Amino acid sequence: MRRLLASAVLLLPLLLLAGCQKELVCPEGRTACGDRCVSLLSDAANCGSCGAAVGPLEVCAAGAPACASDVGVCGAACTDLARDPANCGACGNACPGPQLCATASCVDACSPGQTACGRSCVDVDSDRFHCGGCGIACAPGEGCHEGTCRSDIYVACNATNEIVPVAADLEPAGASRSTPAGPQALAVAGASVFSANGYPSASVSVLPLASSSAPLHVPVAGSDLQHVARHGDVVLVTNASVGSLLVLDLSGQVVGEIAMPDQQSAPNPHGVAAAGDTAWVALFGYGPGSGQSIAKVDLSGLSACVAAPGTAPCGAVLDEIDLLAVTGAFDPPGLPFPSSVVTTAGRAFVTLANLEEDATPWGTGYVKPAGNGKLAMIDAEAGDAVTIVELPGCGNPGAIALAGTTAWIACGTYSDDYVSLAPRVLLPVNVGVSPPAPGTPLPLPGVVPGKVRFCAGMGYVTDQKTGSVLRFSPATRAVEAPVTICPSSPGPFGYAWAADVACPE
Amino acid sequence: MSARNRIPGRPGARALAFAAIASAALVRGGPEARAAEPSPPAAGEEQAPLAPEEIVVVGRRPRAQAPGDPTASATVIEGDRYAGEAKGVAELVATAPGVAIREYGGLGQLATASIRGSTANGVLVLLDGMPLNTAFGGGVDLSSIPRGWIDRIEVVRGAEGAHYGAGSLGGVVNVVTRRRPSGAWSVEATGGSFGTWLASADVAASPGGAALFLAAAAETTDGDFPYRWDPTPSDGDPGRVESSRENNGARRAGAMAKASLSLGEARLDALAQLSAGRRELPGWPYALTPSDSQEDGRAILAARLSGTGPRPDLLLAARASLRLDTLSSRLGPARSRQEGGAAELEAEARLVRGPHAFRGTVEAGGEALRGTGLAGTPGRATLAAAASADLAWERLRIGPALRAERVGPFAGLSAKLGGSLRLAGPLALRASGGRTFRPPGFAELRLEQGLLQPNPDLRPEEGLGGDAGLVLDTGPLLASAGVHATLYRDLVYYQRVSLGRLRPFNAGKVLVQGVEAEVASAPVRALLGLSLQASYTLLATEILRGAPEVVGNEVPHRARHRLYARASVAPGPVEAHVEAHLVGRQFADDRNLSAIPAALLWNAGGSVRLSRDPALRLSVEVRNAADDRTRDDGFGNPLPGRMVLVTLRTGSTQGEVTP
Repeated sequence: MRRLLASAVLLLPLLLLAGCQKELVCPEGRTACGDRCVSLLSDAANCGSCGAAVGPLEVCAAGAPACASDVGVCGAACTDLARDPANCGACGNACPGPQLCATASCVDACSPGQTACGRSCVDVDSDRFHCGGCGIACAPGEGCHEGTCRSDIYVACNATNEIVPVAADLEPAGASRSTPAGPQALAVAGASVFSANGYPSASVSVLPLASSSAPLHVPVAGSDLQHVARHGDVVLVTNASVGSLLVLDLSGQVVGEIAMPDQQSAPNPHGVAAAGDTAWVALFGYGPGSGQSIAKVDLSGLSACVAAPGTAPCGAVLDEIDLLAVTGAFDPPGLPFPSSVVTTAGRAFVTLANLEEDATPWGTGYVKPAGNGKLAMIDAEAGDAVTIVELPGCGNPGAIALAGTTAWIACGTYSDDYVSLAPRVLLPVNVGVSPPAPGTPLPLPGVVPGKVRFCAGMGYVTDQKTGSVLRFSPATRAVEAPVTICPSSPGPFGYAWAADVACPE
Repeated sequence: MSARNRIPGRPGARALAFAAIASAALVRGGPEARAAEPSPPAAGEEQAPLAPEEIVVVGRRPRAQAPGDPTASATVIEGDRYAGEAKGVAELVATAPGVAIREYGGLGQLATASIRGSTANGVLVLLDGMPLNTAFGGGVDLSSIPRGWIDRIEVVRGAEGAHYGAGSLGGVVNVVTRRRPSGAWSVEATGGSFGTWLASADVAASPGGAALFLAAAAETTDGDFPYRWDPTPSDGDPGRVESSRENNGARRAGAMAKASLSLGEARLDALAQLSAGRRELPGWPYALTPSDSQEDGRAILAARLSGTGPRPDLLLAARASLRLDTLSSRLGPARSRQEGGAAELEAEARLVRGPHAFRGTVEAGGEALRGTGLAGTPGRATLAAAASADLAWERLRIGPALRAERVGPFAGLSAKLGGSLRLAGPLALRASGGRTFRPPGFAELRLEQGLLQPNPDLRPEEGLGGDAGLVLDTGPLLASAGVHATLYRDLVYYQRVSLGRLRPFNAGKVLVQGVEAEVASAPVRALLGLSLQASYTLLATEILRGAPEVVGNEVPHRARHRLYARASVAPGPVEAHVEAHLVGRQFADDRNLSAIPAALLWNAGGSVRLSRDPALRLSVEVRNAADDRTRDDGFGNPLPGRMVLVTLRTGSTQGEVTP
């Protein structure tokens, strides 16, 4: 059959004239090199031009090879003074005879725990030039953790269908990882980054932290996955299109799916968080006929479900808290629109966007803050009693993340029309007291806060309007300048959106 | 091979053949409708009803030659072959190779066609030669054509803009409505599952020397079918729950009048069609829309004056046509409405020199729309000049065609060169190549609604391709097999440009190659009237432009294999048939990660003649005979399980198909 088809093409020179060559379309700032889109400014294998690889001790800086930050220069050559037996500790300081170079000193033998790579002594568990074995170098910016090259932070770049690894200071750290569709939410679980990808077809990507390992992409129904959360040995993903909660094991296999209440009315599940045998799912909905509730899900069967997928349900909805029946959960004519969830100390905290309908350029929608945002506290020990906390100075609260006993809440709207109603700030709330106590909002100039994560004591906030990520200190409230991580999608109308950020625990 | 060769040489048969050709040529004639064809009989001279045996020979199998482009790869589907089966345009064209039908929910719901891997936008759908594609864009809903009107459907594959006009990147579906000799009549009524009722009637008369044909059709369905729904579609557990599709009803009605009048040496043909429908929109099973609905209406008026020119081998004709469309939707709290109109004038000259025919046309027209999300009342003028020839020698036939066209600000050339070489007996080698374009629609250029943004800078899409194949089209048998390759460039894709917003771009480039084969036999009387039919499509698609992860992949929602097979027997007054539709595996996404498994659909039915004069026949049709209640449209929208339709059809003898 193939021969027949090939003959057809040969018989049709018209098609040949038209040119059937393949055309790679790359994001802004990227260039097609072979079958990849790379940044010629930073890609170590294509530095300045396709195929121009940098040396083993070099990085690609602004499109030209340069010595890596932690290596020295001897003459014109980049030299690893800590390990190079010909330049051990200093240029020209060659270790005599059979001696090896270990931590910039000549030694007769490697100390316990070190490995001799040539005449260098290294710790293959942490040495980024010999990570996991001699000669295995990590990409610039990557660190070597337990013999595996990986970055510190992962950013979901929705517009360009990729996960971009960066270092803790948000500098590039290795090649981006492609996803089948726009990644919308991230979580690190086990030895992988789990990426929930949405439009046009939903999937979950399992990207091993070890950058050299192959990813796994798991297609799922629908086109909108809203949140990913690790819970023990499983990963929970809310499927907003289908109205369900997906349960994946750490290998990426879907071991269960839990239908949300009133599933055919589009409950639109957004945030999810779990503690013990209970998960809480924020059912955002679309309006008065859908969602506006919080589902309580029993996960007590999780272990059996993971051990033998398909034999027992992973969970079931135990209860549904109807927020329309909770006093103070919204300001009429607004509706609650529960968004994100965290759990701590036996309580669940759910942000309530409190939105009302308003005209938009494309019709009406629930986009206008109806008043202050709210925080619903559900106390499991008190029979799931719900306490509503006003969030002064915080309109349209969305993402929430915990740093100790402080929950940091992203406030503000995408639309510039409502900035006065919903300033773009982070609001700290002390959830270690009852009732929770909101603190002073932290302004974020020039950023529409999207997701909030804490990694190694620092906070990271994504910008809903650009491909930038901002770093701040929850302790000192110092805010750094946003750093552009995500490139724009191709074309004159390209856009960028840093949708989420995640880091290994 | 001309129609004259296939039809026994009785005057009545020739009259019917001419009527069919004239009907097709009413709005847009083809080079095959030569002046050398029999002169049209005066209206009062319509022949007596034909003997049923002769109709059976012509109508019981498809043909492979479209009147509009005789050298094109084509399948002509005769509606009579499926009489009593209540099949609509979508079900009928699905029997042809190269065609894929996308159903969005069952009877009365949206159904569009794709030919050779094209989008629905890239298929030009004609009703009696009149384009139904509107300037708004988005393809044509095949379910908007009343099934009771269908006489035959010409499916022409390939870039056919030179013959049919811009927009036919993948091909053309030309629905030819019924036309009967004077005195003929028929009435048909169908009732069946899910509250489905269909009725149609037609009559032909010759009042005052004119030939008049009237037809009306109506259909309604509650559409509330049971299906097995999967609340957890991603967990790999096939566990499903019984559910019922609701807010899925549809109603449609239409009326049509055709008239012909001899004016001395000239002939006037006129056509009026009116159809309207309402459908409920049930929504995705995971986000039901219990109050959404859509209403549409369409009116077509056309007239054609034709006659011999200053020399006897020159035929001149002029045509005027008007089409009005409305579409209103209720989607949740939102209401939208769209109204449009198109008018066209065409002048045509045909010259027949010996076996050769030449045709030239000049067309001018315009189309305007107003609607929700469209600023003002956008309109655009159209202007086209076309020339074609049908050059015939003893064994060789060549059909060059060229059409220059301007549609609003978009200008383009469509060209086609086709040929057929008779190898031995009725076996012929047929090959063609062509190029055409599709101007962007108003929806793409100007519509700002919901999450959609317009792009006024779009360019026309382009289709470029060719095919070659062997055709055996003789009395009892049709057999054809061919290969094709088509390159689609500058395809308009909607892409995200911000949080959830979508904007169209000329971003797509796709190569489609494939094999199309079909075989069909007329009933063999010696074998209990056995007739067999099968069509097979191999469609290999490849994305040529895009991100590295998608280039080289298959185009989503394009099945690599499609097979249609049908067997029927007709011993005496009884007929029985069984059909199978196999749609192979396809992908739901351009990364080719999510596969939609192959699906097999079985239909079966039969009929019995209750009376010969007047003809009265009772038919039973069972669709989805295996009662697979897990079928969906590839996007998760369920399709009906087993559906039983009972049809009673009566009429003058020639309207009945009998063995």
